[in-house]
Amino acid sequence: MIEILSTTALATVQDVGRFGSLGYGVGTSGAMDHLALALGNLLLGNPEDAAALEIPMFAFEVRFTQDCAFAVTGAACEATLDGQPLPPYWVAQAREGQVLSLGYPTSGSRAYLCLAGGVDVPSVLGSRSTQLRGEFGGLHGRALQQGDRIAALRPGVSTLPTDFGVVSPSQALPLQRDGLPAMRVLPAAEYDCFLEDSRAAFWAGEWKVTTQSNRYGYRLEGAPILPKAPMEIRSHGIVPGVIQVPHGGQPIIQMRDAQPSGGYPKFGTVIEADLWRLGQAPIGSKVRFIECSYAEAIAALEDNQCYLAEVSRLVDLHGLASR
Amino acid sequence: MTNQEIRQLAVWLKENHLAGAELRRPGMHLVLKRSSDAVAVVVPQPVKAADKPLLKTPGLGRLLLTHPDQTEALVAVGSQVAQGQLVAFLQIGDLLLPVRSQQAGRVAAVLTPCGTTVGYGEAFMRLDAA
Repeated sequence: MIEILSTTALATVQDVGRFGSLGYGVGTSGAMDHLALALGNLLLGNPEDAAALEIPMFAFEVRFTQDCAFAVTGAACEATLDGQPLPPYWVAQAREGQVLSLGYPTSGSRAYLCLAGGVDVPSVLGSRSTQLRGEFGGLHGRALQQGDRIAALRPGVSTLPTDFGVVSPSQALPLQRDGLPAMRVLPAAEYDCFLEDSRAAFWAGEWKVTTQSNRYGYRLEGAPILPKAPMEIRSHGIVPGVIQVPHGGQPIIQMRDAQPSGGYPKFGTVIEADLWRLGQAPIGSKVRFIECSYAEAIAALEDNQCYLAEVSRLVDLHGLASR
Repeated sequence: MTNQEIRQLAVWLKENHLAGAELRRPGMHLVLKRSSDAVAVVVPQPVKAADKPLLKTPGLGRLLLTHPDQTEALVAVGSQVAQGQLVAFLQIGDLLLPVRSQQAGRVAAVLTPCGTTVGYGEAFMRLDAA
C-alpha cells in the first residue's frame, strides 16, 4: 500500500491498455511508454498485464504504508528512497514508512512506479488502465490525488532479488536523426493528397512538441503540411500513432487516450514500436520522423520483443544466481 | 565464459591457496581442481594497508562509474563514501548490478576507467579510511 503525498497532477494508473472495445467507442488508454512499463514488471517478476502508476509531472512523492518491492522506470529522474539515491530503471525493496521522491527528469518525460504484483485496482473491460474520458478504470476513473491510497497485489518483503537494474530502452534501442530523437512513420491513406514539398519537408524538418500535448494527442509545430486541394472526409476509425493534419497544416499525433474516431486527413502513423519514444519526448523538445515500410515496422516490433526477452532471460538468471 | 577467464580463475585459486572452485550456471558447470597437494590451508591473510582500503569488483562484467542515463559519476575522487553506498555498476548484458562500498571513507583514487571489462576481485577504487 502506498499513499500519494504530492499534489502533482495527472498521474494515473495504467497497464498495457484496453483492447477490443474500440467498437463501443472506448479508446485503448494504457502506458505512454510501453517498454518502461514492461521492464518495471519484468524487474519485479510481475505478470505482463500488471498495472503501474504513470507519472508525467514532478516532483512526485509517495509513502509506503507497508513493506513493498517496487521499480521506477521510464524518465531518468532524480529518485530517492528516504534520501538514498535510486538509479534509473531500478528495482528496490521499500520498508513501511519510507518515502519515495521522484525529482525532475534529466531525460524523458514520464516515470513509472511499478509495485510488486501490480497495482490492485479492478479490471474494467479487460484492463486496469484509467479511461479519463469515460471516467472508469484505474483508481475511480480519475487522476491520482494527494491522500489517495493504492494497494499492491504482492506487498511485503519480496522473495525475488531486488537492488539491481537494467539498461534503459533509449540506450538499448537508440534512434536519432541529426541529434534529435526520431520515430519511424508509415505513410497513411491521404499521404499522396499532400503537396510534394510538404511531404519532403515533413521528413526533413524538425518538429516541436507544443504545450498542447498530453495523453490524448501531441500537437506539433513545424513547416505547415499543405494539401493539394481542400479535403473533407467523413469521420472514420483512428488509433494511437495516427498523424492527422487539420486546416493550418500543424499535425496532431493521436496518443493512448485518443478518441477512436476522427475526420481529419491522415498523413501517416507513428509505428507501434516507436510510440514509446514519442511518449517520452518532453513538451518543448524537438523530434524528427523517418519514413519506413510495413515490413520495417514489423521488424521494429520484433526488435522491441527481442530486447524484452533478453532482459527477461537475464533477470531470471540473476534470480537463479541470487538464490 | 572464455578460456582466458578460466585461466584467470585458476591463477586466483593458486594465489589464494584454494583447492578448487565449482561454478554452476544454467547451461554451464565448471569444476576447477588444483593438482598440487599443498592445498586446503585456510590461513587468514594479514590485513595489510588497512588505512588504504581497496574496493574490489564483485564479479565479471563491465564496470560503470556513471549510470548510462546520467551524466555525473556516482562518486569522484574526494567524495565521502558511506558503508553500503552505491559506488559503481557492473553491467552484464542489459543487466546492471550494484557495486557498493564495503566500508566508509574518502575516495582517494579511481583505478579503473568507466566501461572497462573487469574480472572478479579486481581493485577499482582506493579509499582513505574515514
